[in-house]
Amino acid sequence: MNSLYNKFQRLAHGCRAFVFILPASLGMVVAGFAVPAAQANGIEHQRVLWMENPAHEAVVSWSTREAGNDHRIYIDTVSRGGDPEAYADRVGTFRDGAYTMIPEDEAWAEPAYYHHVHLDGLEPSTTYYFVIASDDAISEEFHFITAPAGDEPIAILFGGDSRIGGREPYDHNDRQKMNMRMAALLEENPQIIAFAHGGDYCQRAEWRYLDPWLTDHELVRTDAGRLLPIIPARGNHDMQIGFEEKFAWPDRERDYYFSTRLSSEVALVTLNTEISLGGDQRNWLEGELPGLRSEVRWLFVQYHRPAYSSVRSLQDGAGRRNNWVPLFERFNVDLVCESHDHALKRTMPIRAGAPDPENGIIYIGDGGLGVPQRDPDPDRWWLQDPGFAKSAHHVHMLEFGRDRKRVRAFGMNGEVLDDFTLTPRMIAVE
Amino acid sequence: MKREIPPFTPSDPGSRQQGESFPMHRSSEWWANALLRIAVLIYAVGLAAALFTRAGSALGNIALMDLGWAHGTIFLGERIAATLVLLAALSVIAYPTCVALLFVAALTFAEGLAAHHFLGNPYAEYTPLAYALRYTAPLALIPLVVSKRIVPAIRWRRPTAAWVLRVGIATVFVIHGLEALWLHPGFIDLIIGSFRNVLGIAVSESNAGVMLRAIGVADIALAVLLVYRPWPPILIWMSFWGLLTALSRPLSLGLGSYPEVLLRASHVLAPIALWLLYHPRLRR
Repeated sequence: MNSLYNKFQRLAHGCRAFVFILPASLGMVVAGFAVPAAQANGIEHQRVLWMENPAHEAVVSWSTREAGNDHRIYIDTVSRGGDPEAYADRVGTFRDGAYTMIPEDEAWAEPAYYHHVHLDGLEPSTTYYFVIASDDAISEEFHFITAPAGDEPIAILFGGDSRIGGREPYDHNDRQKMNMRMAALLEENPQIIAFAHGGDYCQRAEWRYLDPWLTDHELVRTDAGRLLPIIPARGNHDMQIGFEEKFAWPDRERDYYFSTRLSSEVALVTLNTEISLGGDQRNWLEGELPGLRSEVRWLFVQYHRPAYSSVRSLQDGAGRRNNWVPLFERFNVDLVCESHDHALKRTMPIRAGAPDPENGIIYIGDGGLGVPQRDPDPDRWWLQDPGFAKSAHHVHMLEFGRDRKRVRAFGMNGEVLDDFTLTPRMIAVE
Repeated sequence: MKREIPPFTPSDPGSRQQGESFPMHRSSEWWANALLRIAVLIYAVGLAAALFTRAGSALGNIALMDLGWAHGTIFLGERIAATLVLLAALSVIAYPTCVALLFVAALTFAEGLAAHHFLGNPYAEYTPLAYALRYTAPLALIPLVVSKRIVPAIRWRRPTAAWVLRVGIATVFVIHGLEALWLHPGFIDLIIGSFRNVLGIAVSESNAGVMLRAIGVADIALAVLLVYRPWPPILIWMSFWGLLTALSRPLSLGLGSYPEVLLRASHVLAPIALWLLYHPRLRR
């Protein structure tokens, strides 16, 4: 039965590829959209991952369609124009393997292999140029910039829910458009150093969905080849093994909850809503926040399922509100970034479950990187002015300065959907 | 294999002959029937409470993500479906019909299948099995209320209902037992939250995991025992455990979780109904 079903799927996929994907791709090219294509040299899905110490560490990852034998990158702090021999260092992979495929994947995606290189001992605020090599294949030159160690003004992009609608893994124009919006923001704002993704990258962390996500992510780069490091949160649709194959880190201590020092004065805490909220993770959070709060001017948090939903019932966020929000309030987190509901929101400043314009915490986000949008419920008290909610694809740009933090939400066409500023909190830690 | 269903006897009011009267008694089958109807109604109230407060549904998620429906249409559809289920459950209280019971069971099963397809929650692929009692409770009612013209052999009504319930209860216990053994993160938080809020005791995640494993083993063992023989102590424990686990939602997450308790009404009432079906008489 399964075999027959798979044959049917293959046949159907073939027909769809002919009647839908080809004309759609041609149409997008005509319309001016970039359609990421498989790299001619066989090196695809180039990306950079940040977790805890982005001034000094990063993981560079890519995919190939053949397993290969020798995978490495050549890296330097000076552009070498793509000549591998000219780069100062060669670094080998710490993990290689085949992306896990299940029978449903076979009808939609070709097998591929992941490769991850861990870079340690990097210099802060430094541009690293590199080429990727898998056996004889050599990529073009890419570069990324490490996080500063000092108090330089920086910005990051935040967004969630880039899974796309439709029955097929390839109906994903909205995600491509949002990725191109992020690339445009990166071109216009070189102070952006990272992209915090709030989770739900694709429908499931299975290869037929991951493959197009990774291909689409190739759009998030500048014309000069600058890659934007991802700081990943795990969402409820990222629970399969493919997530860990996509975002690997050597000797990862915890289940995708960690803090990232983006500069001497900015820290991002990433939490995982898909594991126990009140157990080890809460204990870790309670131990982590006091130190961060006393050290940085700007402390913010990202995770997937919201504490204050814009669409779903309030009760849906009870676990986050019971276990995490009291800690956010106790340690005066500056901003909380959420996803999952498929709408754009900004809450009123909230403290102790009530509006508090002076000392409350603002919750933003709810997910709009290409996912079909839902209608929020604007009557909720936490969405009243200056809060709001609307159905709109969006990405947030968070700019961290010395005396203020500016938060803007951009729509698919670059329109500003939200714009507000925060001043540093002056409340002492308990 | 031993036959575990007690034979019907002339003293059993459920099979009393015309002319016999038991003025001080109602049959155990009558009470089982009543409990199951109440379970279906409470479930329907819980479903309406959840969907009217935007808890969302897996069917709605598929409509949004796979079919491209507008969210406003989906929300309206969810409220209409919840209302229809509630009306069907109310009709079951007054005048049970196969159509109403099948509608409730089918919609619930479809929601379980949708959750299985859509995923998005830990172990969501097992949702159709985890929901077993939500749809087997109305299904078990069908042989108890169906017209004699359709099921003329009255002696098959009670055993059929009983076996449907046995399978449903055992399935729910096996699946929840497995999820406990796999350390479902939601279950860990229910333990941690309930102990903290009710007893003021801080339970570590590792200790909650130990408890969950013990619970998982107990759940599966009880399910196996139930299939082998429906001893009353097992059924009473299952009812108590169903109540405790349902109440752990508001105990852990607050009173706003009350729909979660209502949705699990059959976890409490179905074991009692099964006990009644296997025991010939219950004095008022």
